Amino acid sequence: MSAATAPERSDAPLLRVQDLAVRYAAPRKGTHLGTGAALEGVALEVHAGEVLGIVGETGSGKTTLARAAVGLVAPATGSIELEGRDLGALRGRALREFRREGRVQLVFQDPLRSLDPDLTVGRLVSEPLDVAGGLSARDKASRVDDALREVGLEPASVRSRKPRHLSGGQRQRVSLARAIVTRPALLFCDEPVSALDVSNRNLVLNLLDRLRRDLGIAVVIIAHDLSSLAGIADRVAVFYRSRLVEVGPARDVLENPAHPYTALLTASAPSVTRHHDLRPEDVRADDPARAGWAAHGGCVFADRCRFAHDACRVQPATGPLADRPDHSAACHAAGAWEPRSQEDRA
Amino acid sequence: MRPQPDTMPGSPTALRVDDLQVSVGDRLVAVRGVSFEVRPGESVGLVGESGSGKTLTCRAVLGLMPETGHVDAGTIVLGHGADAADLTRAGRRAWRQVRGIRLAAVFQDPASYLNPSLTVGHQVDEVLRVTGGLGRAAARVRALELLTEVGIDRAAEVYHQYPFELSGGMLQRVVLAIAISLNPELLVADEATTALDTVVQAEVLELLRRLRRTHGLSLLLVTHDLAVVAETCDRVLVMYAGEIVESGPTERVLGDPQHPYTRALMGVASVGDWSRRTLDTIPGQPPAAGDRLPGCRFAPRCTNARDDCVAAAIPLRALSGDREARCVRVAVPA
Amino acid sequence: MTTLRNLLRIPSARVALVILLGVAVLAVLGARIAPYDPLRQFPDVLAGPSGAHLLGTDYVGRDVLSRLVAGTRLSVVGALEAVLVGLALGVPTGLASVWLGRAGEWVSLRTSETLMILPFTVFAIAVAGTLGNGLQQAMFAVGVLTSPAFFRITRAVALGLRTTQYVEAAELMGASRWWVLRTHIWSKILPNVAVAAAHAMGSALLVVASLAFLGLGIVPPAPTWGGMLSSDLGFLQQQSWAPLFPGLLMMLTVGSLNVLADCIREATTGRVRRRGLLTRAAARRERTPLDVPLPGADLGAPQPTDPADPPSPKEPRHAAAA
Repeated sequence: MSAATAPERSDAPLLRVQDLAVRYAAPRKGTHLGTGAALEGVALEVHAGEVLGIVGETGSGKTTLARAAVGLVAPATGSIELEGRDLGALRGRALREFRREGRVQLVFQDPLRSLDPDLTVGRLVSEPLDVAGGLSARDKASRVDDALREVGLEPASVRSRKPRHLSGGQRQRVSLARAIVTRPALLFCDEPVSALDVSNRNLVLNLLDRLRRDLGIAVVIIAHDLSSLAGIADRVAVFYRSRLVEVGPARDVLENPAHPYTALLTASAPSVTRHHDLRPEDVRADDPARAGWAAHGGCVFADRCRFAHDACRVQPATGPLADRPDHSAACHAAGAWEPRSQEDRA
Repeated sequence: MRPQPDTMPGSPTALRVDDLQVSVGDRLVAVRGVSFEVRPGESVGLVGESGSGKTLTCRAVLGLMPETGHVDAGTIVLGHGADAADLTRAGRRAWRQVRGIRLAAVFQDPASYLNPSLTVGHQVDEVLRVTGGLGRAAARVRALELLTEVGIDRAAEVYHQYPFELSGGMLQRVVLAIAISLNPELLVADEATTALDTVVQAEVLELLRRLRRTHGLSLLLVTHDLAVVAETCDRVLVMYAGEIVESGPTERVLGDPQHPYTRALMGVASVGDWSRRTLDTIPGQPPAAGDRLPGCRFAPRCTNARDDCVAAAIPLRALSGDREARCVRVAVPA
Repeated sequence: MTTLRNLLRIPSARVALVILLGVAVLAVLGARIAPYDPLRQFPDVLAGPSGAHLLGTDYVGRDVLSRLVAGTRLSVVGALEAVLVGLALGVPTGLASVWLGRAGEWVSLRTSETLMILPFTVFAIAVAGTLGNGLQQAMFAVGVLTSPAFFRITRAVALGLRTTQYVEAAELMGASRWWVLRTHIWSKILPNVAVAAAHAMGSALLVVASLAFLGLGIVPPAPTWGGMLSSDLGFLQQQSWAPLFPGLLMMLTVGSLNVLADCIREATTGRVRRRGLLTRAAARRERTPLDVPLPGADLGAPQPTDPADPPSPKEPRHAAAA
């Protein structure tokens, strides 16, 4: 079942993920490690020129999705199509060729670890072009300079520096520059602002928005907290324990959540105005009796959900809401559940 | 220097810091003239970005200065009256009577503060037995009580588990259990929820609120997240470039910020506005530690700055409602 | 390379390098700069140091200084051969074991383990017995037995590097294994290999000397340090100070190699201070000032950013001051 698309787009989606499952090795006996599944039954689309926010807690599968979309992990089932090409089928040389084209890029979370500390900025940013080959030295240099300028760095001053001589924010920009130097169509950013102060957070987010506008890139921002997506995401996809539980326009999803987990997220997020429409207890009721449901094909959120009922023994599929076709949720009670009211709380 | 606070000088405080100055490296002053107090049962938020000096201040209070840091001036006093303990230049023996017993701390990454090769239960027991003097059986009972109190449902099971088997949220609860085990007067939380997922962060903050109520615990919360302070703290201290630039009751400070930096922080903080827009930013850069600036340290980035802002050092001015702000533009009560 | 520059900053490294340079000169020029022909026998047997013979003469009247100088070449070349053989066998296989899949890994691991359990000196003697009593063969044997050490070091470093994010990022770009090895891995294993090589050189020199001492591998009357030691022992009564000369020279060389190895290791950590030998222990306890992050401050805590401003040449000081 594919996620509902916005009313009639002229262009096909840039990235289409269908029924994707990624599984890691089963947990060893006697330990509590491993979930067995990193992603299960995920259907998602990314359209050209949009900003999609993917939010979920640790272990929800959000980073796995990005890694699968760039070909770092192979799907167990399902398909990932980029511009119509099936990525799951690529192996060996074909995979390397695809990677060299650089149509989709991943910006890692920690630039300190993803930039080789012994190489200069110039070499780092030009490496994708060097690996791909086919460009003259002069063309490569000018592409590198363009990329550095796009991210707000002065090429002449940073090109010969090594990552350890740059500040955290500059390193991140170098990492971004390396990602856009191949002129990708789709950019995955793994927690780009998690380690930054609030005021610098917004600078980077604004930069991503500008890149999207200037270069026509679709940007997927992976975050574990909602404040990283405020104001910048067109659409938001919420992941929970390997499942996509809700996806739709950002405002819609976050102001009128259809899935209880999304509501729990928005209720939990701290706000300077201390104003909450919902409190976590309104949607949450931990019940250990339901803990086993998820392992037997039931809803992954059942053991914490206030609205779980018998139908939830079967994992709901992600389907569009009745009155909002561009907004989908995986919940049997979607649209029907009501949070506890003020009187009940007292 | 420091304006007369509303409270009487003799009123009880859980923690009192006076005119603290800390330098790092080659005598670069990173914290200057910081004075504040935490009253019994109150929670105070110390908020600021990187380079604001909040972490150094926190470490000075805990006596955990890095080798490159040095407390140049000021006093740090824990407790009041007969129980007051001057921590400023306390030696190891003095600290041993205070740490864990009267003053406890939790930090950002709980996994690195727990021994990975010992069970959780063993580590909670350890504090109770070594510092608390309980016997083995009594310690175990108390440990289970503590684990339950911090919201761990299956305490008996978790007691026998190792840190690697538990999630970040659970580990932070364990660390909290150890911290409150000997009923300290003051708990210092240094970015304790920064690394946690949203839902877990809310749980831990709620837990902190509950512990404060049941134990009468005072809390000093150090964070960069204004929203966390808004939800958890009675009073807030906003730090910038090594100084406190504004302080007062949280609701009033955030509702009607007097210092331009606080106003700017409110502008960029998350207010749950999901509409698509270009986000506010604060232009410029905070000054580096040790930078000597004439007058206001925020002036280079302030939209309201005028000549008198950089003429001389700006003192903290007392405002009505137990508030202070370090700005020449604020309206001082008559 | 920054490593080299850092290395030269350490005083003990400079001293060690000078000594080794001297030994190298001796090895290259050898007999040509010796005052006399090392094989020439003077009538003045077992003489003490004098104007004519600076270090005296040995039991058949040969000039000790000339023999020492000429013997350097044989000892050094022998040791060098062993180390080069060890490197050639150990380093590429170490890399291969990490990058050539399961089968390659299994084969190379088992081979190196087998080599490691063979007793060292016995093996060398066995080789000398079968392949002939020549220094070349003996040192080749030593080299083969040293290769597992290089194998393990290269493998350990390469294994650690293979899982780094920047290697993953390179793979994401579509880089071939060869590219990754060349661009990201090679320069990072060199320092570790260099340390091991310096140590190995020292050990190999001692092995050469030991073999020569035992009379193996060298056809007399060619001069070697070990051989000289051995013959000196027979005449301790007349020349009790005689073993000092080859002994000292060996000590200096091997000692310098070990000091150099330590210095290379220190140079690669990038935190070299200008300290003398005695104060180095004290310096080890001191930390470098501003770029040490506070505990917890660097773990995902807010990092400073100065987006549009030109970068400062020093490490950002905000991280330490936060």
